[in-house]
Amino acid sequence: MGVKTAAAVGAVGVAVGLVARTLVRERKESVGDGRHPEGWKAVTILGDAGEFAADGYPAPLERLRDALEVRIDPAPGDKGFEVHARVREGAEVGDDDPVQALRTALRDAKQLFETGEVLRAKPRPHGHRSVSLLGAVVDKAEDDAKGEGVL
Amino acid sequence: MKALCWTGVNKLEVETVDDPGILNDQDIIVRVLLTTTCGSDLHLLGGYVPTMRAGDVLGHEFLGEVVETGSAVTKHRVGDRVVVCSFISCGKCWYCTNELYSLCDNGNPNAGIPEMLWGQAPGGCYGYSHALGGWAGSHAEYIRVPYADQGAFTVPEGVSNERALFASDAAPTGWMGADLGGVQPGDTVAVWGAGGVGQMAARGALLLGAERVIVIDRYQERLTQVEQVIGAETMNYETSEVLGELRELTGGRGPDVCIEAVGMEAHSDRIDFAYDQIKQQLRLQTDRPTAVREAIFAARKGGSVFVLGVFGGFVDKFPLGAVMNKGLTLRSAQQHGHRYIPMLLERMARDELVTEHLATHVMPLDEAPEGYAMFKEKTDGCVRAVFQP
Repeated sequence: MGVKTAAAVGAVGVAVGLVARTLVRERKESVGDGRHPEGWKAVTILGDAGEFAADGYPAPLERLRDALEVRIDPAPGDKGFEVHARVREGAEVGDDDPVQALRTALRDAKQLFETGEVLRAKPRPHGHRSVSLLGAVVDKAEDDAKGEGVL
Repeated sequence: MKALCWTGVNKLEVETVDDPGILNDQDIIVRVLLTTTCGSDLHLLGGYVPTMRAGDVLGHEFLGEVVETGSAVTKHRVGDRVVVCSFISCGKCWYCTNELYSLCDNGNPNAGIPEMLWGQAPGGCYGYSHALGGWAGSHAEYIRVPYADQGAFTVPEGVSNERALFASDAAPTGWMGADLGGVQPGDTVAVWGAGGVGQMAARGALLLGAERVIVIDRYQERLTQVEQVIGAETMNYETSEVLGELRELTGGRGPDVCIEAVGMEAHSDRIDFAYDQIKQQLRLQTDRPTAVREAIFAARKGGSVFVLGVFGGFVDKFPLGAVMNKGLTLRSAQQHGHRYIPMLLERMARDELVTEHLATHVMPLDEAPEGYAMFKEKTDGCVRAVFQP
């Protein structure tokens, strides 16, 4: 088996895995359990919940505030607090996909609160980016990464 | 600046790329003095990690000099000689405050990718695919180091660059295997793999009080290093029946702690290697768990197995029955280096931990593609190819 063929087979395998994972996730989300009904996303943040909401939420979450329902619960043990949020019925978040925007806002708000900054990944040094199908898939996955995932 | 870039499966080129800059207040820029190949880089090189992109700068184990600091950096100044942990950790999240640094919630800006693969995201790692953040690697003249007060450690006077370099990854990774594998005074420990990480695991086990440490490999020059520098016993699996000999060495019990330092491209002369190789090449499994299987079968009842080697996906014929019925403790992790690096640098300063012998081939960055070829094929006794940008 040539390297290109092997890489293509590998890419197909990964894609099938991701599709299967997505289907499993969507099935789980559609079931809901009462406490986390459809649409809620959550992050656990280390720190004082009072400070998190003292003068509005951290900027990445505050920007979406009008479009969101937000609930803050203490986390068990020493784990801090949980921020649960979902997009209100019919609310719009600019041109962005609402769920992707919510995931991104939760991740960034957590990071800003815990570390004092939102980590910037780009620009970064890199060599020649040749055009390829697999490369395009990786680029797209990275562009969407903050808004995707199981959060 | 010049940098070594991954350009495709088993293809590397030294290219001219943009210099990195300060993007966050907690960043520093480091001029790389030494940067080494690591066995786990070969998984990237060989295309076993599917989230690589042509043009990515490789390298995660390095040492250098601070040349620029962000406004929020307090520990480091321009001119400091620092060794940098390969994993990027914020030091503030719950995982970091519990010393599980490689699981940092904030070090991986691409968390959504590994969440889809593994359910949760580990922290970021330099030069280690877009699943671990897409961070530019250290095989370059300069590198940006985020969360620098957490991840960069000043090298003590008197510790050479060649020794301190391995405090970036090989030494803390190996030490973690011995520590979290639960090595106790008087234990017998077996280590699979006599590369840099395996040797450091063996040395860590000895320093933690293990009575006997046996390192298993097939490359005699590496086993000779283990005997002469690390002070452990060795076993060549091409001339030994590993499971039988380990049983004999331990009075029939098996080792108390088994540390696997091989990873997803394991070799063996057993039939299950051929099975694993075929399945991996057909992409019916992503990783070859040959050494992990052997470690599980070798461990004594109630013992522990620590998986240090890097795995990315799924394996077949995993002996879960042996894990369960022998009452084994199975642990694994990417390195929680921040937890160990200050202590390891102190041990290096006291000559308790010697590492420079690992750098068998030191060369300019321009020769890095040739260095990787030597490292991959293990020619000329290459244990680690180290580059001077």
